[in-house]
Formats: sequence, C-alpha cells, structure tokens
Amino acid sequence: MTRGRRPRLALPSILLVLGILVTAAVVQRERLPEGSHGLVALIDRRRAATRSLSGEVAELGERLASAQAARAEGSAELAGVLERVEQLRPPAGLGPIEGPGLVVELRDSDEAPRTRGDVLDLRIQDVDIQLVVNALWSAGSRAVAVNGRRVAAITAIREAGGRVQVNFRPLSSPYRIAAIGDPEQLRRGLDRSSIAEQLAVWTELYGLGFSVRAEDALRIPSLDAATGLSWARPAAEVAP
Amino acid sequence: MIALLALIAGIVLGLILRPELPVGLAPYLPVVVVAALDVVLEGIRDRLEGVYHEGELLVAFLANSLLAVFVVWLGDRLGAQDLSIGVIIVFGVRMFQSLAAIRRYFFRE
Repeated sequence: MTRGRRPRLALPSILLVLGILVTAAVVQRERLPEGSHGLVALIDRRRAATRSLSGEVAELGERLASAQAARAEGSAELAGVLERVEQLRPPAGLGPIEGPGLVVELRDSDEAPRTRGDVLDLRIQDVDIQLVVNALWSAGSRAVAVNGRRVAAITAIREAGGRVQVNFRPLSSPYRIAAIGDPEQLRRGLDRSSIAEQLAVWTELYGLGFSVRAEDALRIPSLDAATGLSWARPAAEVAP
Repeated sequence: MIALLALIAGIVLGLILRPELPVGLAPYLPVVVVAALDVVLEGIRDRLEGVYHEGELLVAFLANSLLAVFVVWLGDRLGAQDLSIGVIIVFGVRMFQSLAAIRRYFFRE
C-alpha cells in the first residue's frame, strides 16, 4: 500500500485526544471554587460559622442554667446535684473563670541554633509547658490557660510537627500560661517546683524567656475543644 | 485539514461532554497534554521531511504519554513532584526542536 492513499488518521486522532484533554483541563480548573481564592473564602465561611455556633452554645448554656435553677427551687435533691455539678465545672473546663492570678511567660530563645541539638534546646517544648501547668495546678490554681486555650482534665499539651499544641490547636512562642488563684500561693508553689529551677538555669544557658507576674484581673475562657468524654466515675469504685 | 478539523472536534467534544477527571488524575493531565503537543509537532515535521509513518506516530504518542505519566507517578511516590516539571521541560525542548525543523524545511525549499 503506498503511503498517502490511505487517509492519515494518526495525527488527527492524536489532535482529537489533545483537544479533549485541553478542554478537560480548562473545564476542570473552572469547576474549582474560584481557584485558590476559594480556600480563603471557605476558611472565612467556616470561621463565621464557628463564631455563630459558639454564640449559640453560650446562649443555650445560659438557658440550660436558668432552667436548672428554676427546677432546683422545688427540689432539694436536684439542688444538691446542681451544686456538685457547679463544683465540677471548673476542673472540666466549663464556663469562663475570672479572678486574680499568676501569668507565666515562656519564650523561645533568640539565639540562632548552631547544631541540630540546639534547635530543641533553644525552643520551649511541650514538656516545659506541661511541667509549668502541673506546678500551677498543684499550687492550687482553679483554672489554667495557655495562650487563651483552657487547660482542663482532658487537655493534651503535646508537640506535633515542631509546634506545641494545646487541645490540638497549634500555638507559638511566647507562651502565656495564665492561672487563676491566690497569686502569692501560686508563686510560692511555682518557685518550689523543679521546672522553675531548671527554667532559671536555661534562661542563663540558652537565652530562653521565663518571666512570672501577678495579675489582679485575669479571665480564662471556657474549654472550646470538643470533649470526647461522655461520663466517668471515680476509679476507686473499680479497684483501689 | 482533517487534523485541524479533528482538533476542533476534540475541543467541541470536550465542551459538550465536559469529562470529569478524578482529582487523583489531575497531576497527570498537564504532562499528557504536553506529550500530545510534542507528538503533533513531530508528526508535522515527519510529514514535511517525508518520513511520516502512521503507526510510529501513534506508538510514539502512547509510549511518550505512558512514560511521562510513569515518571510523574514515580516522582509522586518519591516525594519529588519536580519530576513532572522535568517531563514538561523535556517535551518543551523537543517541541521547539520540531518547530525549528519545520521552519527550516519551509525556508530551505
């Protein structure tokens, strides 16, 4: 068969495929929600939704509280239960708390790391924050927050991807640990803790920031993380 | 002529059918498009130089696309997304070479 007699189909068919592919690519791009701007808009929408839902939660919480108070007037048993619930709310991280307290500020070092090990030494780590928070708890604080994130019984302070996370939200230096309680008592408790001793040494060695100050009026917000815990009972009932 | 009509037909088909590609295939689309463009230019060049062969062109298109997709896939697995840029650059260089050959053909005649 001589060349040229037969219709040349290879090139046309490749061009056909090319046309479909290019159109598909263009159509695909158009279908994305406004390109990369779509993501920004999506984040804004979600934030607005979160805000309005948080408002709803607060409003429903108030309605619940007033309904409970109205019921409790008639029943001594219910009043007792509600009193107990009220006692348990702060450790569970429910409801904002206001009052005087202590603010501990931890800051990453400004020094530039020279070795791989330095990177960790020059940074405030999850353990440092955990130990300070624990020291403040054991000194008798009623509520603790790190950079405005409430620390409750179920809170995890941990590191992921080089960032410290509290309630699974990433924070960054400086870390402001606020604790509500008697400032003097808290300060004494903190001073006695080994973490304060170590931090004092580390500020000298690595240039980490560590400062403590008392404040007359602190406000610690309610826990805003989803709580996976539905109910629990004291461990003593199971085994000593 | 048929080729041009086929290109238009392809675009029209694409517009009518609006093929929805799975998101997972999205990274492979650009390299296949570039591979197709390269083969088209090569086909025109071969035709002008009188060495055009139907089957070879089809095989070239399929093989080049497959290799390009494979390289991109491999790059994805290795965490080297730049491999797809490499594929696009190689095809780009080849396209300009083909274009230069086509141009040379017209000016030498």
